[in-house]
Amino acid sequence: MTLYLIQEQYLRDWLAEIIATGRRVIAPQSENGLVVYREVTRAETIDLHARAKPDFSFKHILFPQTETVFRYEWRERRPVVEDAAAETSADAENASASVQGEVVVVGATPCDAASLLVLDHVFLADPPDPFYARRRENLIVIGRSCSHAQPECFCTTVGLSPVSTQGCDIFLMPLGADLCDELDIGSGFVAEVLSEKGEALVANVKATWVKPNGSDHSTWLNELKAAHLRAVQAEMLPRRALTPSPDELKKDFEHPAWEEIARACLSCGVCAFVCPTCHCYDLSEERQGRIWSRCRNWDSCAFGYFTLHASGHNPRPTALERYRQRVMHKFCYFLEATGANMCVGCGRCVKFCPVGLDIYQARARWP
Amino acid sequence: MKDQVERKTKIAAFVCNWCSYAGADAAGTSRLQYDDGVRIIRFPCTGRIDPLFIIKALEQGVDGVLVSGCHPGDCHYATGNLLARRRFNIFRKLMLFLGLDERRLQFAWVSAAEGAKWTAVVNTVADEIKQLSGEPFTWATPPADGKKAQSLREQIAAIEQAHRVAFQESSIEAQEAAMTQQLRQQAKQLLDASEVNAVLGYTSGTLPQTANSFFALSPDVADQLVWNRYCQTNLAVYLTRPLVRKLGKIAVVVKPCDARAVVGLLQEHQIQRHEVHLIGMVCQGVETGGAMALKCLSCTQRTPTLYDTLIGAGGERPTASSNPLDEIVRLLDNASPEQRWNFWQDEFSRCIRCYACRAVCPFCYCETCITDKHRPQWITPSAQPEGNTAWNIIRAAHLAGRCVGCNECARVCPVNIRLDILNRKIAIEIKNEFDYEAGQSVESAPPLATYRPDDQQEFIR
Ligand code: SF4
Ligand code: SF4
Ligand code: SF4
Ligand code: SF4
Ligand code: SF4
Repeated sequence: MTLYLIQEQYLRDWLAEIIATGRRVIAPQSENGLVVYREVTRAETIDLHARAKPDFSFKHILFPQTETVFRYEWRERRPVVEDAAAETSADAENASASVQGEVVVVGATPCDAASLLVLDHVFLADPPDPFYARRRENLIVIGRSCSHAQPECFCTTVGLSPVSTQGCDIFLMPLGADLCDELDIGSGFVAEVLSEKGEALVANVKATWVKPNGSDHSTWLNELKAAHLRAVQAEMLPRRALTPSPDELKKDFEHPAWEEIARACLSCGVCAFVCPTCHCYDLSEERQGRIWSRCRNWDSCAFGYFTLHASGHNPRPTALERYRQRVMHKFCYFLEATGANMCVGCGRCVKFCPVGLDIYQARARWP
Repeated sequence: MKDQVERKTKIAAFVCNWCSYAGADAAGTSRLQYDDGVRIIRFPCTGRIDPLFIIKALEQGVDGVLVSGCHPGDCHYATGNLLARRRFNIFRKLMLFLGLDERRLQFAWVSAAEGAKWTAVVNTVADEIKQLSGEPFTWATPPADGKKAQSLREQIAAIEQAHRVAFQESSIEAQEAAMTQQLRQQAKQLLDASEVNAVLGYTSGTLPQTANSFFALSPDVADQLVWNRYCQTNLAVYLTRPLVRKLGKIAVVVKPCDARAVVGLLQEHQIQRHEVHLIGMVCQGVETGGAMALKCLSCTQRTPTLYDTLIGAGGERPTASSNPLDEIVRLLDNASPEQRWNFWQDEFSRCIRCYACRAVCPFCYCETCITDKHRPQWITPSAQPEGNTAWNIIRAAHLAGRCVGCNECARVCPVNIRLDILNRKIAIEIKNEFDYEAGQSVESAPPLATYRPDDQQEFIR
């Protein structure tokens, strides 16, 4: 890890340069009353001091909502699969997000960046998903610390924090006015460069990015982070940390509490659609004229059709089984398999749930 | 020189077997000539022609659709065309509101004897569609940046801003506390006396300024019930859910809009009156985004139409001087079809197909929704403009005459698609055409499940 101090203006110049080199830069932007990660073409529009986390994560960059796996045409009673390299306009957006060079996400919140570890685990496991793998290789994540918590945030209960750097190639933290004065850099940031991808991206800006004096930075950096964490945590709802204990949940698979919790669930699926770590998809065939496409689309375990068998049997017929699955997958099965929760505590599912179901509360019935 | 060949105008003609198909046949046997771009698709009755078919035809690239059947009174099945007349009247208004050019969707009555009329109708329709443009019709194309209907959106925001009403916290809080006490009391009584097995209401949400759905199954948890301006969810949606049905008789907390949904469910025989005890709440309106919800600004009911117990003091709310949603509908009505088309395409292109709109709607109780069917696949499942447009149109069409304007669909849409405007437009047309308002009386017939011999038919050739 390398540490730098940068003035805000130099940071912006650097971002402008990244855009100028033809890389796609994605940053939180407001759109129809929502803040979402979208491509930016001017560095000035990047908000380096955003108060809130974006409404949705940047999962769609790696795992688009809808993606054409392949296309075919019926010719003389036979499906002729299109040349995989041939692009049509509908695919152009997907393709440009994937193949043509690097995509840099600027201003990823710690929860969104950490969600990459979950997605990587799923999509890069053997055999890797080629669509995801290609995009992932080209993705560079510049994270930022959160300066404020929103009511739904609970990252600190699942082992993350407003200053955690998991999943980031570079992590930015604004420096307080006093530190800036002390270091004499106007308003500025501290940048932790955490990976080779990150190093490569800052390779040519070292003139304006200065390394702090002295050799032991961990002390002031840790102090800075601790102070930051204290301030943000004070804004969070009082919630205790969850013990990563799959067995506790597992033994209570048949507990009557599940019905009590799930009764209010409308099985709408919004929670999965806004979740940075949810990754289930459905494959479907679609026709436009004589061209068929096999598409993969986001799916949700909340939907009744998710587990419907061809026989007509449905092992998860009601919200009870489905909501339990959601909690179990995130806090039991995934934990068992990987040692980490499949939830980064962003709270989006709580915020967007039409009836206010709170996954933390559901999980917190157990230790 | 392929592109110099004149492009054929493709028209799908959906006709009933007994009159218009025979009429087309008569035209043929009389050797009358008509436009050869028309493709005839035969149905048993116009009553069988689902708006889905029209959507699908347009989506698959026809330039226009002609629907034709028997004259009123001539239906082989007595009333099929009379029911279809109502449905198409509303569906056509919906399509025009979305910005479809009216020449692309036309209707006619052609009897078996009217070969000449068939010829004339087809030729006129074909001519009109040809005037439209040389370009093939494209069903769903998200507008390019410059056409994003930004000005319409700004004008809508201005209307909303002008109607913004904030709650007076000092006065409303005391009232909410008093009603909460009454509600808890009532819930305890009902549960103690075993009159119901559960009380479905709201409890404080884990996030500030929210209220969550809450089932009180025993009197000792009744004190968790609350009543306040954050109680937004239309709880009627739960009445058809399996886990809730399992509870047997339950009491449900209803606002006036929720009670209208219960009325609708009773009307449609989804629940029976004796299965629910309605705890009606005298409503002060609910709050979204720091101000009174749009639907509440235009709602004149304070006391629910239907209830078993009433909580709070009655008295009607003064009628709003102007309904903001109606103003927005008028604004769009007055825009050009192209502007409207761009506006709605821009809205629909954002749809992520999460189906939350369906999940919260009390009237989307279908065991298998049309969008879940894939043999045949009526609505493509990808979140792409074609399927998104079809999905949003068909849901609006299925709710025509049933939607009670609770605006839950619009509230929960995670990408803020303006489903409320669409629903309100249809409600206005239903009121104009059939003098009907959804959810006001259990006895009245749903407007699209009935007809009158003298229903409006100016739109039919
Ligand atoms: S489950 Fe909820 S809180 Fe956890 S990562 Fe997903 S959306 Fe965020
Ligand atoms: S968002 Fe809420 S209601 Fe919808 S499926 Fe998730 S938990 Fe259930
Ligand atoms: S959209 Fe139509 S088919 Fe689907 S659930 Fe609603 S009413 Fe039923
Ligand atoms: S369509 Fe929307 S506004 Fe109408 S009843 Fe359903 S949820 Fe309520
Ligand atoms: S809630 Fe909104 S985004 Fe979800 S399916 Fe309905 S219209 Fe589309």
